[in-house]
Amino acid sequence: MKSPFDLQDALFIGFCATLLVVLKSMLRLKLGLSGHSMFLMTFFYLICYGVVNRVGAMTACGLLAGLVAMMLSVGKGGPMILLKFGLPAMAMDLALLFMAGAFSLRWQSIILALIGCLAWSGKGLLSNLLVGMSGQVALAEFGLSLVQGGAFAVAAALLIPTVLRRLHAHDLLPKKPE
Amino acid sequence: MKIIALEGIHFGYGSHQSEILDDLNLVINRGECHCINGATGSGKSSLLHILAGEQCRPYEGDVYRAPSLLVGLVMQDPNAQVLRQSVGAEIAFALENLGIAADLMVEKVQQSLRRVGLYTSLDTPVEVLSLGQKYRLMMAAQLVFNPSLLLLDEPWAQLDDNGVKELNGVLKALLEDGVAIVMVEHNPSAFADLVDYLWLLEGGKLRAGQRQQAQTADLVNIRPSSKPRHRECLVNIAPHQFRFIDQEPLFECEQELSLHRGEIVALVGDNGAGKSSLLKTLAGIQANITNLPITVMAKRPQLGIYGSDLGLLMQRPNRQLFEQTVLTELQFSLKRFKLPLARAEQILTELDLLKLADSSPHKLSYGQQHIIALASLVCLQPKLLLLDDPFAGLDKYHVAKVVQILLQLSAQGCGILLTSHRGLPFLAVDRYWFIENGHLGDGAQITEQANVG
Amino acid sequence: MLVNGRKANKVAVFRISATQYCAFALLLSLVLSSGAFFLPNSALGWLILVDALLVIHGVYLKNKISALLRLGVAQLALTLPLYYLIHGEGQMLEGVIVVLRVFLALLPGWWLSATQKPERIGEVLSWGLPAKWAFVIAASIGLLPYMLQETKEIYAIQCLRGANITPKALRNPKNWPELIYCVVLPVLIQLLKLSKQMAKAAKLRHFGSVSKPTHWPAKREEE
Repeated sequence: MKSPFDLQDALFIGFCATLLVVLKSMLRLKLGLSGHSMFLMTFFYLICYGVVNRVGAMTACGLLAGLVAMMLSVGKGGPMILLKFGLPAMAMDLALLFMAGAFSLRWQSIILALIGCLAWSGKGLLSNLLVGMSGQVALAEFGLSLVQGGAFAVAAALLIPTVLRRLHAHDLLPKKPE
Repeated sequence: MKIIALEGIHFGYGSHQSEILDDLNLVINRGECHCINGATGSGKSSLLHILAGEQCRPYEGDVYRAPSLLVGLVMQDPNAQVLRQSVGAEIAFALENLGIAADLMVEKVQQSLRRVGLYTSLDTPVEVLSLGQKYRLMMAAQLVFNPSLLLLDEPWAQLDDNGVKELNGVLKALLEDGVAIVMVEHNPSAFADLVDYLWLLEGGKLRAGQRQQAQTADLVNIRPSSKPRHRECLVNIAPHQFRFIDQEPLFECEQELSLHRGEIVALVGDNGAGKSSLLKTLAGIQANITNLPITVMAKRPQLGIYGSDLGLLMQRPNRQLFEQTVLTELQFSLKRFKLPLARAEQILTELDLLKLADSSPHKLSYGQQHIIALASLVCLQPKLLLLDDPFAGLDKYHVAKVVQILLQLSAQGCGILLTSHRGLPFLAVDRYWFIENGHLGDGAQITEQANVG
Repeated sequence: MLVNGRKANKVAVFRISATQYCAFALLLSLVLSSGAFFLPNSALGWLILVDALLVIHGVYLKNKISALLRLGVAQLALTLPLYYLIHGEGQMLEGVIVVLRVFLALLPGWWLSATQKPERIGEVLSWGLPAKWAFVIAASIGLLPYMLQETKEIYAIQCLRGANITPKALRNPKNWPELIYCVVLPVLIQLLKLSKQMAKAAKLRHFGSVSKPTHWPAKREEE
């Protein structure tokens, strides 16, 4: 992880990542309703990007969240959790490289949310296929998690423009959100 | 020996606003103590940051620094400066960053702990220290790299009287060692014995300040009791032991205490005595508390049962602000409790703040934010108002404004309970409650003395 | 002086070995987790045997495994009906094996976090981490109690101000945005201010002035 961020940004990303991990462990809703974690992930990743305004902020937040989750032994712990948090963030950052400035903030947030969700469900699909699940069942589970996670992710994305605009109205952001 | 000098400093936020510092000059020599006083927003903090060499916005003018000058700065809130978990690691942070070898650290760290008069193990977790101890820990964390200039941002407001006394002793020893000290302080009289130069920052320039009579610490101001006691009782506290579940008692209350409509009661005690916890308990939001014989408006306190009848202002009230304008911030609770929205403009008019109605609450000064947060409770016209340290960090102008609001509310029949870590000479109250040495009680004796006097 | 130095050396060796054990545990859990994905069915028995040892170790150290078991059951409840619907009764066993593998992939992670101290794991993970990010992580975790306290207090203040965010009101999704605007937004504002202040505090204490900062000896001999 090379750091183009100054210390203040890095700390903010760290706080967001930590809060994300802890809220996720506290808000673990009813079992089976997976996907709520996509809400928190999408929300905090997009906030980080909005505040820091740099490609890479989301990846940093995701990887930090994974590390923090391992250190706090949140959830199931173990090295897998790094991928769980990191993969959607990396996908979102990667997508951002190709679409920066092409859409309004609102649509950019929604598209990024969906891409993050795709990466998240895709990771599930891949691991299910690896353990030898039949393709059809794996696809069915993939679709299910995509729909659930997607709904949560888009809900989070829809909140982003208002939150960023308010932060900006309070003079707390260096750059105006488009 | 001159260690730092400012010459003709100009500084302002943004181009169109007037300058905060306007042709400012200051020379500081070894072992001198300078104290800078001035209203909120007069540029005191900006000045400190220029001295520290940490001002991120550009300024004009010359700054002379002695070649080997190292500067330490203790900012206002100790909690926002703690970077590590244990006392030793916290102090060693600067040494790590300067690349000092690990085996040299322990001695240096212990030395600076002794310099601030903290005698605790290096492995003590920072969170168990009192606020006053944390403040001195922050000083030790600066002293460890031997700065020749130490800057302090408003120490008096943070500390209780014991903390101020301890700090006075530490600062005296530092001055004798030749360290120069610059502090920004609303209440210079608290450090009167140390200060060599007292400045007033006004209109962007430093002028020699006037020394005031030192305030006696336990000055109380009791208003003549004209209130009949048969008014509705709002708060009743029966004798009890106040403690968190599975913990030692925080304090013991041996006599019955009550607060009636129209009364103002000040709850005074040192930092960490349990004032905030008691207030939160009364509002029904303190977790982990045992079942206590306390009733508020004849009910056992619980979150959400009092609606607009109860208002609570916590410390650092600017935390609660989130709306885009001051007016909508005030209307938020009115809307939720279905009260007339016109009250918001009404109270802004009364407070002479109508010009702020459309500004973002987060762009206001600390004092203004404080008043706005208070006003958002006042316009609900609650029966009971609980205020946690409502005068902390306010300058004289805003203190007067808060006093005005409280007296007006009390006249309308609102019962007010407010906390402070010292007496409140500027506000006439009906009674004092004290938390002293683990006992909560009515300050009847002191009250009588004051009335006789 | 010489004696002192030697003692210090001994302590250092002991510390490294505890950390090495943790690094080994981390590696082992990685290997076992990937084993759950890549081993053929015939070798699964061995993997179960090894993992059973881990479970015994973890439970022996008084750790609860119920949360992990619940997760396994939930996974089973999701996958088996899908197998039944798509493939019919015949391939149910295959479904069970699949869930078993997922469970075996998660189990070493549970063992790791059950038997290793978080700070030890942190130490191993920060081996490859630049000083700045190691500091950021340590500071964030250290500030966690403060952040949670702030969040709780802001929540309580806004409840008292009449916001529709009580647990009961939150059952209605219509009130969720209120939670975002009057609790999450102020918390973010606080975090922004806090990160600014802490960055300043760290820089004033010379953070980043040398490329290779030294480390405070957390484990020392009693003076």
